[in-house]
Amino acid sequence: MKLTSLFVAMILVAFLCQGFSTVLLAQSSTEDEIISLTYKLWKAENESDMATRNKYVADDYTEFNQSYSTRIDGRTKNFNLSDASNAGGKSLADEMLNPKVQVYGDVAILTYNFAGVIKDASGKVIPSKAKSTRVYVKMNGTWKLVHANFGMDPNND
Amino acid sequence: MKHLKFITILLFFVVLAGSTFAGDKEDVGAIINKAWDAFNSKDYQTFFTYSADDFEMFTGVSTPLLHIGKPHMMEYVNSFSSLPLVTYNQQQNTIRIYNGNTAVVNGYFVFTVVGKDGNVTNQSGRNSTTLVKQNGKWLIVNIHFSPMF
Repeated sequence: MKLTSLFVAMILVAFLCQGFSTVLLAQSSTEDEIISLTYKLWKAENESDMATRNKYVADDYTEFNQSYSTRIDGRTKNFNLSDASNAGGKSLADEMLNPKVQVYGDVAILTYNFAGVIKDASGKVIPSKAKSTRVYVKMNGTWKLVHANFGMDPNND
Repeated sequence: MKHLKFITILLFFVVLAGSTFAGDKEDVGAIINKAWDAFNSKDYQTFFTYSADDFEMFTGVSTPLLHIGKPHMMEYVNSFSSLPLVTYNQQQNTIRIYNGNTAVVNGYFVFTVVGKDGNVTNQSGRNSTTLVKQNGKWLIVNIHFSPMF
């Protein structure tokens, strides 16, 4: 009887451990997915890949950035402004430092220090820094960016 | 007749869904107001109850680093308690609800600090706050303050 109880207890513990590790793995996999999606969006911006940008950025996307004081509402307006401000220049590198992803089911919040290198229209190579927060929401099975705050790094020149 | 019934039922659900989201927006708006009211009254213990344990925060211009975790944020906020006056006022909030369990709130703020020497510092900026409904309760999980340019 004692052996049977011990056996049942061991099976229960094994199931609990497996369940816990599955949850951790799922969380970790979402974190990786969100980081990888952000790199994919940077690549799409640099290559003017509108299909990818439209797929992963929500229609009602809003953004606070370093160029404009007030919020820019809507994907179209955001794309128009960011594409125009990048005209003639080129991003040479986009990196994410200290990324942290908070996952709550179908919402994920990514915070990181942005580190990039830009070649502007005159050919000058300059660093680009920011404190960034991105909010992604899963809609119909696809993660979509609904809001971003690209704040100034206090150590910017 | 069948169509009428179908349309009536459909209308019922549309109204119900609309009122649910309107309720969420109001609830979230009330949480934001109560949290900052508590902050402005220096009732920091109440202020902390509106945020989740795994809360994260990018502050204004003081540091490029993220305040990781609630204890780190609490330490930062508690440091204001010895100052004569610290107020935070947020306006023009927009609230968007996603999937009934996530709220994205954006607004503009003025943060005022009166130092022990009487000097007044004002900082204005943009706020992005994300709340998640956990066990039926809206909790702030992330705040990003960025300066106004």
